[in-house]
Amino acid sequence: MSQDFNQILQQYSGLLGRVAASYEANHHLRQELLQEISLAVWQSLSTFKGDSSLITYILRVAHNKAVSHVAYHAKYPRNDSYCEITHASESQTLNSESQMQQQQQINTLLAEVRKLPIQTRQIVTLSMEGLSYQDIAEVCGIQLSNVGVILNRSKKVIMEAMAHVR
Amino acid sequence: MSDKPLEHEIDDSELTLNSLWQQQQTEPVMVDAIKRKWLKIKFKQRMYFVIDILGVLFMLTIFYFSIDKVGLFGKTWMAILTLTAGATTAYFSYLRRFALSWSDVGTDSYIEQLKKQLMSNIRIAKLNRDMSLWMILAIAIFYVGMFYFDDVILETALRKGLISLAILAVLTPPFWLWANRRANRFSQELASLEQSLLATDVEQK
Repeated sequence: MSQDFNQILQQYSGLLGRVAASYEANHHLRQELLQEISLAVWQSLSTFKGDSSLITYILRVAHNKAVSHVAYHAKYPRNDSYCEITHASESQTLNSESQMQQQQQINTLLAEVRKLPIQTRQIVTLSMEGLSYQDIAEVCGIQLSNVGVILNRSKKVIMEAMAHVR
Repeated sequence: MSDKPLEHEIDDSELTLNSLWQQQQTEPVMVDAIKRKWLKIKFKQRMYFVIDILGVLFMLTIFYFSIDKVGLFGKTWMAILTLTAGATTAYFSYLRRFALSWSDVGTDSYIEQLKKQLMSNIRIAKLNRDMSLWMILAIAIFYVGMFYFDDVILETALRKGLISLAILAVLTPPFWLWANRRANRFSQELASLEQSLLATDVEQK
């Protein structure tokens, strides 16, 4: 069973990393958050009963842990002055102009996402992960009809910000 | 607004956004590090639990060996102090459990739970802070009462009372500062959470 949990964690590693990235700009705190999220998901998997899909279950646990992180780290500066490293760029080599441009777009996207209030941020990121409106409503605990309204409004703002980068 | 599910028409720009989002570099999850962390946390929790139990046992031992040496007033007062120590220990154990917990409820409900939890933590931290000052008064009343009800002679009451107050004079300021810092930290956490929930420009557009 433990082996299964490890496989699940590895399988959703990228997803969990993106949840952490949407809540924390600071590189060190983001790694810490990823560890906290992964630990919470790892612990929670033993009680997963299959009432929902595994991905929505994992995302519920992950986002809830991230919300606690947002509150707990109030004592730290919310901007990046606490730590100069905001992106783990030292491990990546951006060797072409298109790659650099793409990285810039990703950075802008992340910056815009982090500006959003928690609920909106959650809806937008879940949508970008490819979840259906039904699943998004389930993870967030909100009305299905609100998902589309919030999503359309916020994506428009993000797209406008992205347009300036291109 | 209709309750019917809204049609989710994915256009090119949305696809680009989704693709861009999913292409971002992320750190790998270190499963072994998580397991090590979990074992370390579990060990720490057990140690805290042992210390908590030892603290309560210490109070109960003092209570047990002193019960025949004091009158009704002394017994009542010591029982109150022991119960207070027990309740404080139980509260700290409860807080530690919450710090390790996870939740699979919808985030909306979770946020409400978290806010209530933080408000309750603020109240309890303030109560602890104020209790440290009331404890000085409680000890003073204890020895005055012991003397008044003829449990001890004046000289003993003065000697023991002064020793107890001297110990409290050393212990109370750091405890008060610690409890005050906790109250401030929880207030800050609540404010930060509420700030993150507030509508920004996006919501108003």
